[in-house]
Amino acid sequence: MRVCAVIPCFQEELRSSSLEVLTKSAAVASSSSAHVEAWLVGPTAEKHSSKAAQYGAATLRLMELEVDSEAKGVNVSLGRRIVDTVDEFMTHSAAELDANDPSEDSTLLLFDNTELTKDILGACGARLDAPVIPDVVDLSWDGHHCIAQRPTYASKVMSEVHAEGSVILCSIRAGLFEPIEKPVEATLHRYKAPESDLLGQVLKELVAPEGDTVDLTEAPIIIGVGRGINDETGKDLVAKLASLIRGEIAISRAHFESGMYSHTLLVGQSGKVVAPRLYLALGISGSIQHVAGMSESHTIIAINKDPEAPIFDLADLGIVGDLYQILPALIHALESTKA
Amino acid sequence: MSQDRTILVCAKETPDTYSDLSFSASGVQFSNPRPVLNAYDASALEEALVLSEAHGFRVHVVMVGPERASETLRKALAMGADEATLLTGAPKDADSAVIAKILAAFVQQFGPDAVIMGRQSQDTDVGLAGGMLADHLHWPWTTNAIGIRFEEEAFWVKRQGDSAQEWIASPMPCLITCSNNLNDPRIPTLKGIMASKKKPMHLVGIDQLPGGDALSTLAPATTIESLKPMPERAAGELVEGDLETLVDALMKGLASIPETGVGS
Ligand SMILES: Cc1cc2nc3c(=O)[nH]c(=O)nc-3n(C[C@H](O)[C@H](O)[C@H](O)COP(=O)(O)OP(=O)(O)OC[C@H]3O[C@@H](n4cnc5c(N)ncnc54)[C@H](O)[C@@H]3O)c2cc1C
Repeated sequence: MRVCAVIPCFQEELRSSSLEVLTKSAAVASSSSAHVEAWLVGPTAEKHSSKAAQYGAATLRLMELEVDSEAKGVNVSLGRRIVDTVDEFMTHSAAELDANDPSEDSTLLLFDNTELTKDILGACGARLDAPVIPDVVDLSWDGHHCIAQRPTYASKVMSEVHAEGSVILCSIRAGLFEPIEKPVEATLHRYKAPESDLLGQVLKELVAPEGDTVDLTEAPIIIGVGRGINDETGKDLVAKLASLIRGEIAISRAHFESGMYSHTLLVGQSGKVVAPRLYLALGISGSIQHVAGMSESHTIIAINKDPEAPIFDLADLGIVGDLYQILPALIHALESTKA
Repeated sequence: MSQDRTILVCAKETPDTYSDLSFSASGVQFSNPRPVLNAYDASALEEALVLSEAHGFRVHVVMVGPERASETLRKALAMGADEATLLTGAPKDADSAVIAKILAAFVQQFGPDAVIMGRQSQDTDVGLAGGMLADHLHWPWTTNAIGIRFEEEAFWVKRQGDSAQEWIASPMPCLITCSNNLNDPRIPTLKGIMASKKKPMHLVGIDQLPGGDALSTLAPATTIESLKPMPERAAGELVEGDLETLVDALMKGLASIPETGVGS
């Protein structure tokens, strides 16, 4: 039995979501006496291999391949290659495992839950003809059955999903598992990149508007901005607050429409799913679709002038009042403690 | 600009997740018992209709579902789709993998120039069917579209990634999954509703598709074992009062999170 963490490698540092996947892989493996592998795919695979061993992967499979340097991490360049690589690694390593012990022949593949993964997870499942459970917040595995918990119905219902098979794929929600180091001696296998076949797809343009470089799933502090912030004055206040509390800005759908912020920042059912240390909701009512994207946050603080706003039902701390009065006073208080 | 070109929209119906939800012995119940067209698929259909208006594609909608689902499918016709097919007889509790195999058989037989569908289902948020279908078809695919253009005989898709967006061009045939953030689906007009009654809707048993015998007996490899209310977050403190009280409470709250750097 083995648990394999599939890690896209295209940045200087491994993403924290990848460390979480490694940590969860090690945890699942130790409770089912399985072996941990890391499948590192991308231009920085070699670079991240020692880190993977530091987080408990005893077998490292490396597929170092070039992607368009300007378009790192985007699907045409990397995602398609990950599907092919996963297929290739399964074929190669199945032969290897069989040779050792046929009873060992069952595999759990764990992915993070970024857009990069969402783009390819279905294709990976189809390619391997294996069951897939996406976006899980917890899972266990006995070698043939995977039991996973995943929020559904706009995060109002927890579904327990069971999958059966000798190969099972799962993606895990970011921000829920504290990365824990577990250094091991690792053996390394390097593979030659297969011919890339993008089926005629061409990346025409990478659109990276200002402020669009943030990967929200990585941010420990997120300030969610809703319709309650509705002008440049408000936007400036939010920016100032963000720099004082080391926060990254996210938006509700209201600002997808207002055009005041980049679309990349949308949190919710149709945007990013985040679970930061702190989610500070400013002028967000708490619609089910928004909540679906942030309800797993460790701490939620909400400011809203409406004491009946649904966001208060899940906030650890709710502040009832007008943002345009509270934010200047809060910024002043923060500046005086820093001075 | 040939009339023969077709965009196939894959759609499903879901419970009305906007309505109130309650738990019963048989699972989850919604206060609105009528299923709705999945919001993401409605966006996919809207985009197909816009492309059709500009470039003359025919728009055909396909749904896997029970006969009753023809009501929901009729709504897609009322929005403006030209034709619809309801694929009946799918195994009970079919998961995305089963649905993708059924759709693959239909697409292979039907031969559209593009498949456009929602990026996920609004009830379960699974989001696997698109990628699975594309891989079965061996077609290029793009997910999470927030913009689509048809240019130089290719579909250009603006895809929202983890950070940044990208324009990706795919030759035909290709598959696209849509965010609901690329448009506001039109509401059927009375005229549209009247017209929809005359539009062709085909009921096809999946056993009539290529490889149909195998399709009807596919067993899902994933099963939903239980549905439970989400563990409630412990109700927090609600602070009302003068500005000083509010700011004090906020400062304490922020200082309790080391990552904010407040109070350290
Ligand atoms: C299929 C589907 C998917 C969706 N996906 C998403 C998604 O991913 N993310 C998302 O966010 N939405 C999503 N939505 C939209 C969602 O339903 C809501 O419309 C949206 O979240 C509302 O954003 P909001 O809370 O900022 O605005 P509103 O609901 O308008 O709330 C604004 C709040 O600000 C407060 N306020 C106003 N002024 C002040 C002030 N001066 N001081 C303090 N408080 C103030 C008000 O009391 C109110 O509570 C989706 C909808 C659909 C149909």
